[in-house]
Amino acid sequence: MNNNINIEKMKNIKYIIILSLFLTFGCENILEPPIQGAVALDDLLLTESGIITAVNGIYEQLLDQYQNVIVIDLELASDNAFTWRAETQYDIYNFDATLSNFQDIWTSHYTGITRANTVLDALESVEDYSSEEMKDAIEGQAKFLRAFYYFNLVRMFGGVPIIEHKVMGREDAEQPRASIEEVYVLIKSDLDDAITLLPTEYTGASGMEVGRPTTYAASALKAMVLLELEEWGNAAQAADAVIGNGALLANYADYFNGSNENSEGSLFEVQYGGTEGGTTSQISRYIKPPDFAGLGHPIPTDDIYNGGGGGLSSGNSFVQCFEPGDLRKSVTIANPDIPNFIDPTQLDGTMYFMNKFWNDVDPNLLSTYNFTLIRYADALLIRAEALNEVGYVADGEAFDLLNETRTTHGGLVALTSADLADQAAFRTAIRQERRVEFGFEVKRYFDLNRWGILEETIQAQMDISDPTGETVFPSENLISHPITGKDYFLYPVPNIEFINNAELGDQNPGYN
Amino acid sequence: MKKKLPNLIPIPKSGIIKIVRTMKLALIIVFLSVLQVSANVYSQVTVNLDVQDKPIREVLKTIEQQSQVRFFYSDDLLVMSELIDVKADNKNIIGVLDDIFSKSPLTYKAYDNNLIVIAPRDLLQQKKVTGTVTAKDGTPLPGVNVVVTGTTMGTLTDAAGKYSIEVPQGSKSLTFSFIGMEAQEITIGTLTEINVTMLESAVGLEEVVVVGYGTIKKKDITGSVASLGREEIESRPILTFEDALKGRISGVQVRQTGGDLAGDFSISIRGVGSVNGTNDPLIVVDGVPLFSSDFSTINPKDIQSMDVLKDASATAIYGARAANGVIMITTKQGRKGELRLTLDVDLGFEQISKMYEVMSTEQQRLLFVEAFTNSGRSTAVYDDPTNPIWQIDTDWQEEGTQTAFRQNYNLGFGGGSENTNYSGSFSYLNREGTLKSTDFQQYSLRLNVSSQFNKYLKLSTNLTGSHQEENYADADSWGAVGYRGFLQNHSYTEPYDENGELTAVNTTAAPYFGSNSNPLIDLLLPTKTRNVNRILGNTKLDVTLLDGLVLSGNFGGDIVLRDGYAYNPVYSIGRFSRDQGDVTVNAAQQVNWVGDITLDYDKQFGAHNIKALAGFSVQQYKQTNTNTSGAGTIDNQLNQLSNQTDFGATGTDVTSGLVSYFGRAIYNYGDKYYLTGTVRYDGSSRFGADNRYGVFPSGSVAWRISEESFLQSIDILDDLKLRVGYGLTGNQDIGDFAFITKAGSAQYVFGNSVVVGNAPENIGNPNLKWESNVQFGVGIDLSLFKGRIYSSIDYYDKQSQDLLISTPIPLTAGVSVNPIVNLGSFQNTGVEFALNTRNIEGDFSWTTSFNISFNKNKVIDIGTNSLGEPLEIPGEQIPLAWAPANLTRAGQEAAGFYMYTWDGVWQLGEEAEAAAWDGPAQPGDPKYVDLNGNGIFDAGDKSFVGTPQPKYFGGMDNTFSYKNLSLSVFLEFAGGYKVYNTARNLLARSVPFVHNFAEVADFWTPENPSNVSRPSQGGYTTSQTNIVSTRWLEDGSYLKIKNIRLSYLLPAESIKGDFINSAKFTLTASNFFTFTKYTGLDPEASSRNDLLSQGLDFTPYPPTKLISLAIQVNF
Repeated sequence: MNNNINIEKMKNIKYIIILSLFLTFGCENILEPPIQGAVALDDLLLTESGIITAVNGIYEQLLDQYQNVIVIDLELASDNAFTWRAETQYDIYNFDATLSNFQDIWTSHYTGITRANTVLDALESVEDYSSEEMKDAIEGQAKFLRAFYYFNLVRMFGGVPIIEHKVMGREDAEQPRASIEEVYVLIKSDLDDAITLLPTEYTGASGMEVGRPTTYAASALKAMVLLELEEWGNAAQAADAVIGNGALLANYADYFNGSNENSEGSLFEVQYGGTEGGTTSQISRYIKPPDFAGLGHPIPTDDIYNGGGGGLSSGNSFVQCFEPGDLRKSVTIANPDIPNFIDPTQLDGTMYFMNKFWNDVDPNLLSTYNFTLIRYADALLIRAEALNEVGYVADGEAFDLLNETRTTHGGLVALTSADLADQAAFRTAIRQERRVEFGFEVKRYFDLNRWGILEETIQAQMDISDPTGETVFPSENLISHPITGKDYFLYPVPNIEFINNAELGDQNPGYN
Repeated sequence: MKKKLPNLIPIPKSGIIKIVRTMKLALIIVFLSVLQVSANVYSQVTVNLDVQDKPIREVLKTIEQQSQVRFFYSDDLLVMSELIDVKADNKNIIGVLDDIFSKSPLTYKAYDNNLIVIAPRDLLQQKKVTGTVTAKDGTPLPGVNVVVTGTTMGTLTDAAGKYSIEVPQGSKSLTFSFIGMEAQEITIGTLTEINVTMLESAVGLEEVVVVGYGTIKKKDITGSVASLGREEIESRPILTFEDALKGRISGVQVRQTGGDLAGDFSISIRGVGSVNGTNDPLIVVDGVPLFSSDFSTINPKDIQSMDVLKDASATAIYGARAANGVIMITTKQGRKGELRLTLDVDLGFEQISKMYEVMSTEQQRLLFVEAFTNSGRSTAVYDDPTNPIWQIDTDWQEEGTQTAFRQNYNLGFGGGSENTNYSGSFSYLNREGTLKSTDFQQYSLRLNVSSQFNKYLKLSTNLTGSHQEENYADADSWGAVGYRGFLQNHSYTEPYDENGELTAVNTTAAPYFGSNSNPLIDLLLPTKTRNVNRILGNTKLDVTLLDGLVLSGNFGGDIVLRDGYAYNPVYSIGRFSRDQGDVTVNAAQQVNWVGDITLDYDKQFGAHNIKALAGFSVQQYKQTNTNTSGAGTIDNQLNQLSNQTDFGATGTDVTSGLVSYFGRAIYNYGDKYYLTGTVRYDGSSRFGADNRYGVFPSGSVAWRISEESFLQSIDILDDLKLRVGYGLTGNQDIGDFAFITKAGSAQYVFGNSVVVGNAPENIGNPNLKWESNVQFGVGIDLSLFKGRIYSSIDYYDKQSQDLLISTPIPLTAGVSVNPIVNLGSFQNTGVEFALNTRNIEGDFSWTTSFNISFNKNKVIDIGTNSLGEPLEIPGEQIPLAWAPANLTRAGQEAAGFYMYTWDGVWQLGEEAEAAAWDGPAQPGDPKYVDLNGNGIFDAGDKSFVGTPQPKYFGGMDNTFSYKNLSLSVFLEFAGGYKVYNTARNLLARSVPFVHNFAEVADFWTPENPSNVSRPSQGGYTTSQTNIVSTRWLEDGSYLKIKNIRLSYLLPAESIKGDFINSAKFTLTASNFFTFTKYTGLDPEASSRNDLLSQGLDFTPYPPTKLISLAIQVNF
């Protein structure tokens, strides 16, 4: 090899190095390709329009829960419905901590909470708020929804882990169970903030669409919370903030048939719409009779069988609880003229099915009907109940409040102190009124529990359907509510959580 | 390629003698021997001479002065000094020379260009040798080098394998050589026709193997590399080349994972180690690393060779993608010579190789009666055997399948000129499916061209295009789709009515309880098509900078376009109807391009051989998918998207890329001591900025002990090599953008309009890094008796580390995806053995190749849960039981089978024990072993009962040849593993809801105390039979006679005319014999590719047996 060749070689290598460097710098974008169809969450939370989409995401968990799991399971768990299907666990309180539906409810609610936390943690990252009102509305909605989700959780599972910030890793999610009182501290604080932050109405502009909770919705939710905690005076006061800022609809059916969504009679609804499965409700699939290709999960309890053939917890109850002439009965339940598949010896048309929210317009049963979560009627009946607990006043304001739904929705005559002579009688009446007014709106189970009468109510049903007395309400799952002192039933925390969270603490009583 | 010989010998005007001095005369003569010998030229040449007593040398000089003629002879020739007398008067030169040499030991030869060579008589006498060169099976081999031994004088065989060569007198032998074949030296003696049969070079020490970014001679390899040549690939009637690999190479396990006619395989090299990433090897076609391991579109007949890089020392050049091994595929290249054409026609028939035995209608009726009696249901309709319904016995398997015709035509061509070679093919395949209404077609086209422009520049281009069209059926699954539908539906309904139209029952009333659909409806009515178009190719420019130093630039691309169309029609048949049709259209596009620059240095300094490579590579993948579906049509003519009313659509677009530097140095001393070092530095878009780059080094040494002097005396030993390697490779296939927290779609609604919603989709882990794979390997290669025995044995220990494991977090985290962290480690250890022997040679020959591999997989660590307990990762849930069959746990094999142990059924007299064990249990009910001995049936009775991964697998090929006939028998086997037969879990549990397998006919009754659980319909007994247990877990071990092949080559004399050079007929029978205890269709039928859910047979597209006739004609 001579020198010339060496020089030539050196030259070539120089070119190669230059070329390589050029290529490397030219290739940086190869290592950082743009993400298409997805964005880094942190990037999204820098703008108002971005954070609004994150707020919308908090609501999304409601869509799934209120077309199936939470509605079906808690209505079965109440005295409103029984089932002929496999989901008898909820109906007769025969379940353990591995049942997937609890996990579903738990997961879905914490998903909502995580999303609310994500928004709250990012509030100050947004650089372009169009107005202070918009920022307040964003914060208010996140807090309202976080309170809403925690309120469901604490009523079903008792003290649950409190997570107030976004989860960055396993450690953040592994939190111990807080006490029931601690959870309520957070709920109340969030609702107080929401009442202050949320607007009285929405303009309909982007990010301000009607259907988001107003300050009145927050007050009504707070009233529900205070009623649960038997803070009667405060509950009445919170409800009073709502009363006068809405009105009952003349036609009861209009709340549930999509004709008058987000009306003055309603404070907070799960908004179903669009054309796809993800944003519409398939609740009809679960409530339709099998003859109509539905699943007929919950079937209103009915005494026609006299305990003989109705099902495990069917008994005298829901179908009969409507006073004659109550216009709400045919809205809430229906008995189509079809064979009775539970007991073929009965006449056709003797089976009742859930009728509220039933929408079979779409061939795939994709319904756009909203699901009502908080109605103006809630405020009326909360205040009525609270006032009565504070002190019975013959024909006082509580009577007016009670009669407002009775007469407007039910078409029934008003009740007076002649009918309801004392506090106890009024209490019975308000409980009855709540049952018929809010049938299948996921209120009955919670009511029975907070009144401390869940066991006696359900056991009575069980005794009718199973005269042997072998079906027993699991009283080992009751606790004494730390705030109200009432017997209070708790669902099991999903078993898997104790494996994946060593910090969690103890399971609810009776589930080990 | 060698230059034409004449060009190498410049014919000087004078001074010949000087040249002659420096060369051996014999050699010169050999060179000259290809020149045209001519007498005509000299007829006009005359000389005038009158000399006495002059040396011949002087006389010739005088003649040169008088004419243009030049003489050419060696100074060494003493005779040239002999004194002679010559007298010539204008006499023809030839006559003069004849006079001069008539009595001399010398003679002369006159060539065209006035050159006359003088040499000893015996040297100048030439003779013509002709012959035909064929392969072992008798196929003519074009392009074989035929050289006079010890010289560079030679020629190539033509398209018919024929050659003709002038051989100088005194030449001892001819050497025949061909890539991939054993060179042969044949003594010429008195022969004028020499026909040679080339044998594959078993040792192939000089054979080159394609490794990343270059080739290496096999003898110089220090890592573990196995190769499959064209011969082996072509020797089997294959649809895809996964099939060609199957059973051929130790350490490479190929399993059919079911699916469809296009072939769906999984390949694993040296076990599997990645839980969340891929376990597929990297596939590199002509230097283009593919995006996925799907290469089903490549025409197997286009493949020149497949080289499998198994250990880290061989694969590390591919760094972050090499953890699962690399398969290098090289397509056929042209060779110098005239155009050669090869036409292959393969025609065959396929049939399902096995069918399930299902109950007859009468057996099923009796099952109903017993089950309904046991479950307290009315048996009224089932009791009367004379009911016409029970006379129907439809064999759905027969109705739904067909004997399928398969045709494949392939036209290959190739050739080349001095500097440019080309090769190409056109191929058409049409394969009917054995399931009715399925078929598959493929068109493919290839053109490879390479051109050496001058000493410095070489350009080569490979290009393949293909188009596939498939009509497919539903994939395998639990329920009544795919082949399952034929099994699960009751036999007592008719498939067609009297008009030949599909029919079905219109009631669910007894006896039409349970599965009573007509499975042909779902098979025949919907339209399901999919197409794949693919263009794959590369262009490479090699610039020789200096001797041994080559700069190469390579640019390659692979574009895969897929589209599909499915239409579910409106129909109403009996009680089965669809009110609305629906259409699904999808399209996917993968664009993968790569650019490499490499600098390659190859030089020998005495005994020091150095081969070095440095390179830079950029690669980008872009993948888009769209899927649109619409429904609503009520008219089957209106079967397009635009005819629908309800729509849904999804789409994705993902781009990822790699930027890499790499280098490799191979040093050897005297072909004895070898040292190889490789390193790759990869940057990948799949990781966050902090962990974007990874370094993957490897090193290996080899010692060719046979080259040591102390072994030189052992004649039988050709080669003995010890190899040891160690290295690190990576697996980057973890999905895109896993390192950031992504915003997932969470739409909501306001005012009945959908609004955009977003929510955290995962918990991003910015610390994610490569999965790594540390591999130690040691191997020995041995060749004996001139390659008649060649064997190689390897041991490896492969540790997969930093495996990406998705660790469970509490549900309170509020995201649906568990965070992925690098923490797991798996180990695969194994031994591979390969043996190739030529047992008998000669007219009758027998060769054997055998390989077997043992692999043991062990999970070392997959992390802990929050309680600090070792994590257990369950596999896919088995429907019905809703429990997994696989469980991955540290200390066990990945996806080990974990379940209850079947213990027959409770018998009469065991009532008390049964009741204590599990309340409602009674005689006839399933019984499972009480492993924890606590007397009751609980989860503690589950245990690990086997592995889905074969402990050993391999293949053996025996080829017997006699003259024009050749017979080859290929066996393939695997063993030491289990398969979970989900079909039996559903159809052999004595529950009449579905049609049962024939084995159930022996069900338990008090009178027949068998171990087949008692029939039931619902209730305790039924739920106990659903349980995942060893009852449905079967030994998957098998031995298959994969292939029997008989070839006959038409004798050359029977081929008339020049048009056809050779013709060969091959009759092949594939998959006719399988020896296995497995009762499903195929013991290899693992329906899932997921590492954690292996060995589950969901009844994939049934395997077929094939009989085919192939005709190969060379023009």
